[in-house]
Amino acid sequence: MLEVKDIVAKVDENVILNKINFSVKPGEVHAIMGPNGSGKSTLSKVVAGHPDYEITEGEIQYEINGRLKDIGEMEASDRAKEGIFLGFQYPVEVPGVTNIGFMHEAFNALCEHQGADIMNEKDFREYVKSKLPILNMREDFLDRAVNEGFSGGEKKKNEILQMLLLNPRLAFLDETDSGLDIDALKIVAKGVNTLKSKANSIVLVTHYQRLLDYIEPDYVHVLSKGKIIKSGEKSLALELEKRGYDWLVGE
Amino acid sequence: MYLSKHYIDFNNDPLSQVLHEESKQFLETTELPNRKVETWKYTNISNELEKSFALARPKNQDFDKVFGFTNLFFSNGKLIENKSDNDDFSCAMVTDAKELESIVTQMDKDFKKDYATSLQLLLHDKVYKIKVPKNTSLSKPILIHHSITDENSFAQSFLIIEMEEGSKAQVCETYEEESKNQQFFSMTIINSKANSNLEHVLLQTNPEAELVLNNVHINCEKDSYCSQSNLQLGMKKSRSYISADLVGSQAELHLNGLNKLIDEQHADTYIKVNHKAAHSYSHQLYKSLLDDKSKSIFTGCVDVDRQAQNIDAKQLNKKLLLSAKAHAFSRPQMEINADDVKCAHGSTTGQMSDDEIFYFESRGISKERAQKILSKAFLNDVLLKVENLPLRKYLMSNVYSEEK
Repeated sequence: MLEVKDIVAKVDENVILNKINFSVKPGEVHAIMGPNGSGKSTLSKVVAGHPDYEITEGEIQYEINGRLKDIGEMEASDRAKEGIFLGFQYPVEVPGVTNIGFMHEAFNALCEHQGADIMNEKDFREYVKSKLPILNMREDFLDRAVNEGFSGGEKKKNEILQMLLLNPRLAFLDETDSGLDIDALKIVAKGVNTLKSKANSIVLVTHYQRLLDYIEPDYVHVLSKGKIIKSGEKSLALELEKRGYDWLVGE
Repeated sequence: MYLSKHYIDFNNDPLSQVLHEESKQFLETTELPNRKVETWKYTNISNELEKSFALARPKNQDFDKVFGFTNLFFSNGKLIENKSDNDDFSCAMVTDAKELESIVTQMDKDFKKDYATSLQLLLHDKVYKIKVPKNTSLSKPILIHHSITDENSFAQSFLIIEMEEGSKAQVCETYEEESKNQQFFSMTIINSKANSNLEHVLLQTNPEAELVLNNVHINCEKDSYCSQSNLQLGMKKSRSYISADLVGSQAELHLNGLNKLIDEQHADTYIKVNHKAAHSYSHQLYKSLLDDKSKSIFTGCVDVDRQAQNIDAKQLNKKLLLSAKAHAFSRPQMEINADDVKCAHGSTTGQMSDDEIFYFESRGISKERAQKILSKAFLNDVLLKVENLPLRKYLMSNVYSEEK
């Protein structure tokens, strides 16, 4: 469903991704690991369509209506409507916009795109409320401004809540585990596992192996200096946990 | 001075001949506002004043009432009685020149010396007074519709709002779109007596207006509450001078403002708050949303008298630039002569954050839609300061007419 082919991505003339090849099939869970500054976050932002990154070489192909399509020129919002979701490492605070209003707007944009009827406010609130127990969230989160004054854990839960509401086909979760205590980590993992299905794929971007104890990846990739230097199965993550990244980077 | 050519002849019957003559003399001996005049530093109105405008003549026109409000209709500055409905308050023309003269005498001296104030006094003709009786709370907000029916003309509204002790009311003055090339001068004098509660709004929505001058003077007695909101949603040029005297303890004043400008629109606000009594409270919140080559100027001046101990004065001015060519000027000014006070001011000018917009986009919300939602979020807290819900709703429908 996703084919990243020989991508070179730059920001302000600095090459961040250097000929990356990476593919995801429906139902798969991938973990992307690597030291700081290796380009992990960039990869997810590039796929999601962040305007700061310029793709100078290669192609990002994504399956739309059963066919792979180059989405390099597509607006971020259109990619999202086609089912690409980005869970932010640092979710943005938006004062003056209520959380539920924001999610409702996103949900209806998606409905409209899919030719479905938009949902009214009352029904949408009921729909959101049905998802709250999965993440152990209280209803009053919905009426607060988007992420404003949320703790680190609350922000991450809020990302997963949005993901569950939008039910994306391909979710990139950028360091969703950072800043979480062990209980919050379990809750967030439970939320992510709820999305897992034959049709939905998940890409976890993470520093640590501990998230992978709760969300089992099919593949693990190690990114260094903008390149994937090693791919393997779950055992690779365990090895990284023991030995660090140096032995790979040095190879 | 050439002003006499354009304006003076139109005025045949001022309420106060004394004020008319005084201002005439002042204007004839005073330079036109220019860069050297502190209160007019960024706003030049000489072009507008040089153009020929005719005094708009009152007409008996049709108006649409807004449901849920007490509607008062002014055509070219004159109240149209048979089209207006009022219940538990009075709105009448002031007939005693002495009454106006005594009010003007008590005004803040800087305000009185202002060029626009003098122009208002020069032009003044019919003066109206809304009086809300003692301990009366109006059941509906008052909505004053001003319209100027002719092109290339000017009109003036001169209104006194008298809030008797313990009264409560909301008064919104709107200047609605009618025709092109107009100048509108509005003078509002508010007297908030003890324990009264007033929400006053100036809503300006005519993008074709050449020049809009607003002069507001507020007097706040003890335990009174007054909230003045100045919503400038487009006109070629506007300048508002809002002056307030807090003369009684526990007087509470809120000055809220919003400029939403496009093209080369220009809005200048000059505020002067005088804390003359101890334990008084003032809060200014002004926000500007600026697109294209528009320009917004905010000067918020707070003057604390020596005896005005334990006052609390806050000021916040925020400007959001949607274009690289928009201009924002923000000048907080505080003169504090008392030693035990709380005074705070803040000013921010910035652009919409790319991160915020990308966050919306990553959820399937288009960039254009995200900008609209964020603009609305930016302006919203000014409108939320209006406590009367029907009035707030009415204002929101005007401010967000395009955004939904």
